[in-house]
Amino acid sequence: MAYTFEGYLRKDGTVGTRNYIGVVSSVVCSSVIAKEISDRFPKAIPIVHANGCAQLGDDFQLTKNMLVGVASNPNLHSALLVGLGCETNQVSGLLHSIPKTKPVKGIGIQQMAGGENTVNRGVEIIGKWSNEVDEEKRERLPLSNLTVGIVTIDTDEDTLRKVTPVVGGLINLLIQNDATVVMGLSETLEPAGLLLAKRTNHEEVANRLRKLGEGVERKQWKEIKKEHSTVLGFTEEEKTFAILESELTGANPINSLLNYNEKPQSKGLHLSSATTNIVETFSTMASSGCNIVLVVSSRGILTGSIALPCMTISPESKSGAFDELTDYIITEESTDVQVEKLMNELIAISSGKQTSLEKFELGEFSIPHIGTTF
Amino acid sequence: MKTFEGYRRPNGSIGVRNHVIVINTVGELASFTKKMAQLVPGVIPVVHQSGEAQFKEDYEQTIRTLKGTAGHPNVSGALFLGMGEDKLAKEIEELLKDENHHIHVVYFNKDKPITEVLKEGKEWLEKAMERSKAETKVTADVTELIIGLECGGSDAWSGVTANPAIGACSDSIVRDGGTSILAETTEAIGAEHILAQRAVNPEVGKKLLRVVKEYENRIRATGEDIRSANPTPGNMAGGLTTLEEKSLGCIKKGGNSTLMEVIEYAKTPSEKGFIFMDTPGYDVESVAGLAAGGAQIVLFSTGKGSPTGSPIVPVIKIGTNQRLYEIMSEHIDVNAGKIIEGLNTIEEIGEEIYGKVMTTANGSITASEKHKNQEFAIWRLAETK
Amino acid sequence: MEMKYNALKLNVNDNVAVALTNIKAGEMLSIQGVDEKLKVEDAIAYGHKVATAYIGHEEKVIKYGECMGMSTAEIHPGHHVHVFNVRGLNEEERLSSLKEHAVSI
Repeated sequence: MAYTFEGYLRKDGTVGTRNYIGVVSSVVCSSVIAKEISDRFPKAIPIVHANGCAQLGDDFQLTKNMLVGVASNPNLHSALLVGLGCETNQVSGLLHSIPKTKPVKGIGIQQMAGGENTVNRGVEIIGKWSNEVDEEKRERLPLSNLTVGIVTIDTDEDTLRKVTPVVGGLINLLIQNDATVVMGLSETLEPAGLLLAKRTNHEEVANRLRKLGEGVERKQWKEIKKEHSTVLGFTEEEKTFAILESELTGANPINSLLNYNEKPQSKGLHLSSATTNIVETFSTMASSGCNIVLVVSSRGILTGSIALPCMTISPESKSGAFDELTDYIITEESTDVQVEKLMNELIAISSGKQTSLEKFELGEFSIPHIGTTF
Repeated sequence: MKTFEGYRRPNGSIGVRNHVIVINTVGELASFTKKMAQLVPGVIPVVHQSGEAQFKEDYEQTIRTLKGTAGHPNVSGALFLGMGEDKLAKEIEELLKDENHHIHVVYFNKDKPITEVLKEGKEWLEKAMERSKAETKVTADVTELIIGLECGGSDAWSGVTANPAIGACSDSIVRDGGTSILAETTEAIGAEHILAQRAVNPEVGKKLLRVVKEYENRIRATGEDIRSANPTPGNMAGGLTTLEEKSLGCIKKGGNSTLMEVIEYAKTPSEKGFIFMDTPGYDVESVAGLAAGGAQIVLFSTGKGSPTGSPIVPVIKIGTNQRLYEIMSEHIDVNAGKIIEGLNTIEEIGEEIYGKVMTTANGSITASEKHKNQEFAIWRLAETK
Repeated sequence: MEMKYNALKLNVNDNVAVALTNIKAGEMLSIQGVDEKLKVEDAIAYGHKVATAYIGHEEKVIKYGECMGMSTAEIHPGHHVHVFNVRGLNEEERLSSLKEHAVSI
């Protein structure tokens, strides 16, 4: 049976599971105004962050790419960029880099001569887009239009043993149905690098995975030595855990290892760099084109992405404290039955059903740093 | 002696505002922090994405900044939202324990339903709000004021009008026994030898030179060189000739007073008088550091117009030119552009700023407060872990 | 609005003033707080500097009461002061300025 869901087909062929208007601040200095504009419209989401100025080199480029990426995400019907004027991350530069496949406009506080004028202009622009959004309808589409991010956070062995068969089954099913799956390569998964390296046909990807598996230290500014890094190694315990976590992805071949906000170039399974800050991980997934995220955790999580529905999966807990924030609780039922249930839930959410986190309006956006601000 | 009416805190410091704030420890709790603030009218959310996935130097800086923010004299009460066995929340609690400040942490953990956590937080905030309303003001004088000095969105006039006028004000405050903190290490590069000459003793001078050098090296490690890239062609077209001249235009916000101490980001000065704090030129991060270091008010010059403020300290905006004042008056508190028009001298605008500092200390609202510009960000040194 | 002055000295000890408006060659320079008038010899754009005293070759250019650079040519009063006749301090000069204050790196 071929699975389908109902989404918003965009001009560039991508599909949104949501139909938002993004109000994107180019710099922290315009974040309050961006939020003020966004708050006036139920369909608008504020994409605000602490970056955008006094950044250098790669760190600045990442900020720019992240914003270009999230503005291009299929869950956004349109994007309004709100700048200050004198920031490093110029709105004109962002506009230049965002593909012209959806309504995109930019305004600046200095150019508009103040916050009040900027809010008024922004409200005018989004007012028009809101009417368009209301008229758009979902269409029935094959699962090949889904790009599903997978994030693990605060998992333990017990959780993984319970969750892995079901989520692994779901991922296999997604890949069989030609969907794209992007698994966040968390700190806890890195020790499985050697094993994961065997699952790719790309030599370059295998090399990078092996390096991670050996435990090469990540860089920090006090000792930036790009040429020679320290091999830390991992404990047997860390490795066992990582192997367990890697089983989430079944036996599917790994097509690529994506950097922050890099887009997957093919269907199937991909790994992507992730930080231990889940807000940043969700945000990099949003900017790399994911349209839904699956979150595996032992405890349920307390925020999602501002732009992507985040479907949460946890094992049953004694207290049930975070149950109201969890979308699927693993039961004693057979794996096949649960995989089917999980798939139905994923399809329902992709077709517009609110996630628990969305009901509580819990969603954030943040950009990772790869260098110092000055 | 100039005096103002402020709020005396248990640790002896004096606040010019009486805020109740709620802060997240880890990024995952940012949404709940905003939600929590909405539950009780008047509560200000202080939200950030630091606190986790950070290397040691960033983690320490985060702790220092959050501690300084929660324990700030302008803050009557601060609620932290922590997660599970939140190490950061516990460390901050420990650090502030002896100051008798009104601090409380509610923890989200697996064993407690979320509704209960929210209820606990809301109840604490309601009480904190009531307490803050019952607190009465006492008379304090300018010797207890710490003023932060900042610029953002500078133009060709910044170094001619607003910054020298802020310098005149800073000199007056220091002369009257108060404290002013010059920030933004980036902008001192090229004039650090001039600042160092003003140091009260060779140790302070050496520390300033060291801080600037380390800063420069950190940026050089990313492949950039501030010294050779400045002044920019745009600066030169505007009339700036040398790096010294450009940097002097920035550091003259600190006037001509003796440099008493050089402190790290978000640290509280131990001396009175003219101080230098190591902060980035990124204005929101720099203002957060100044505030966390105990500045009750920040003076901020802007030429192109920047609306940013702070969740806990009033930021006074000084516009550098007449046109800015005309088109963006909603974001400007003092118009230093009058100097260009020949209407006022630098000293006169310096006096006007000083007057504004005192009325603000007495409770008058600044442009950024009026527009709820409560931007907050902690200086990032390294990449996300 | 009537302009009372067309230039500003940032410190009484300065040997340059900043033009507050575009000043044409031949116009008189009137500096805030300074009585003497001076004829401007070059066109000075607003924000740019004009010499208010004679500055010999390799002498200090003073703005904000501080040394902002060294002259690379003789500069006569009323002339434009900019990159073609001023350079920044070199490392040695910066260090020697510190030695007088017993501060060394």
